[in-house]
Amino acid sequence: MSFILSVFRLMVERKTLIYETLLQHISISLTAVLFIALVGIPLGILISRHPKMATPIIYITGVLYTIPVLALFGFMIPILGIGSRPTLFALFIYGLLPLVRNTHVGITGVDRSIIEAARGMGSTPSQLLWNIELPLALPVIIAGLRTVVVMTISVATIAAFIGAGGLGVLIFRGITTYNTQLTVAGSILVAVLAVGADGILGFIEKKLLQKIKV
Amino acid sequence: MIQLKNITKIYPNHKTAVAGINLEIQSGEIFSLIGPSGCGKTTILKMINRLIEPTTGQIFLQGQNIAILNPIELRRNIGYVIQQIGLFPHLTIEENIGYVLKIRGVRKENWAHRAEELILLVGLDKSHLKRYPRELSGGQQQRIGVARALAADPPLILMDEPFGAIDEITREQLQNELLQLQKRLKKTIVFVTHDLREAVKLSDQIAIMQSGNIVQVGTPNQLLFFPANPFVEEFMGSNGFFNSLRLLSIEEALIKEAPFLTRESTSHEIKTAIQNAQDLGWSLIPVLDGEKNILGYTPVTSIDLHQLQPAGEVLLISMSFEQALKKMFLSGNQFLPVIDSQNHFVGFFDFTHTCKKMKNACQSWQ
Repeated sequence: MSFILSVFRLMVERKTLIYETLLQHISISLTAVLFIALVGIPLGILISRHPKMATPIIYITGVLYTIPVLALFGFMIPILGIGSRPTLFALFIYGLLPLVRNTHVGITGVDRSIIEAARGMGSTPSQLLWNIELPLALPVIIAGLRTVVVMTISVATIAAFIGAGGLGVLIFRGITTYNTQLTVAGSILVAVLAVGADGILGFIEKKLLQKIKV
Repeated sequence: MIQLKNITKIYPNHKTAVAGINLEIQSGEIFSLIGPSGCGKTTILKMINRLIEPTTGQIFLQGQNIAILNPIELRRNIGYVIQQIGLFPHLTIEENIGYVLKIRGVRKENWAHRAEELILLVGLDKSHLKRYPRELSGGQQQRIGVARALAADPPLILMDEPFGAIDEITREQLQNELLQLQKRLKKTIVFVTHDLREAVKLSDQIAIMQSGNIVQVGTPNQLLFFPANPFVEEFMGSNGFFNSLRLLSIEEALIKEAPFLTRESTSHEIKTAIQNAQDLGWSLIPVLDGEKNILGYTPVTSIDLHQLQPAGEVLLISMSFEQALKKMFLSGNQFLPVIDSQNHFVGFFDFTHTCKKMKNACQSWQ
């Protein structure tokens, strides 16, 4: 009990550092998720249009996904140096698979008869995509996005390792200075951030689904 | 309306789905393609709106080769109803019906108005417009499917086993409603089914298919009475003839000039009536009142316009041969009077006469 209290006391005492690293963490994660969404969703749509591309693309993003995070950061340093650039790139590569795969699964999973009806009624390919396929694939795409967000927030912790800042700074500093309270404070904040972001997305998902009633 | 010339379809796996068929479909008729599964009937249907492209041959729609038309435009002018219904689950019924108009850029108030017209046309209440497809029963959903196909008022509608997944009672209803609609709208409907009774009931013309070929094209009666080969005969079923009895209306065999008397008949009229009755082989003559209601019968041999034998069984003009024959067997009469829906006498159904009449009809079908 006294340990938990000491953690909270530390959070209050070092609030400037905590505030700073928290903002860094949010900004790194958000930027990464933005890039992942901007590339991942269109890529998922593309491979659902061209089934021959689907297997190689999912395979490649799958291989990238299996690279251990630390190793990936290690590769990035000689190429992109240290700081936020390699971090963003690593997070981007890491988060691509869940979103590409979910977008692809969401779109190809739309009931064939619905697609056939829409085509038979004279929908252009883009009308089919925007009016039928994307709205119906949305639950699966959002589920993918939630995975990506939670994962990115937790992986971004390791970004401190290559000098990009974020809540990982607290954890690493805690480890290296035998300050267990600091490590725990950082961990708690990462967890709260991830759970909070997931909750917000979950709420948005619920609202959207109510509206489109699938 | 539609001509198919030498159409073949060979799929990439070298399976021949359609093997060089020629067809002509007239404007305003319900034309059914029927055959066992895998016979190519759906393939033909989908070639008409270019969801499938033929390997060789041409399709002409109102004289135009559809291969040179923009497929999107072509499809927007053809109604399309499928077995799985395929309503859009995330859109309201109103948006579903208006979809074709919406994607053409028609303004919301106009397509919403059209949706309202159409939901009434297919016999559903306006309150359904704001609901979602999953809130409707299967039969209601397919009514919406039909309404949706009618939205742009296309002259041609393609229906791919539209009632195949619907329970039998509702299916029967939907078939009747389709016939009623067709009487008013006079669309050209190409109808794919594997249900013979459905095809016979709905169609003006039927094409029977077998492994990518058309075996016979004709009216339901032609196919029932004069199957071109053993396959058609077998397909129409061992009870094909009895099916035809179920589907033929007695209206076709009605005697409208048969003898009858009224309480006020003159002796001359009675004499003519007796003569006619004897010609038909009847031993009884019916007596009607001024409103054309049947009062009863009087024997040919001793006419008595006041002491009548009770009227007994009557037939409704909408009855099938099967229903009429059943009533005749049960009542033991060789002829029965026929009334319309207002209970007015319209004529007689007579067994001997019907046999002769059917013989002539058969000759014309042949």
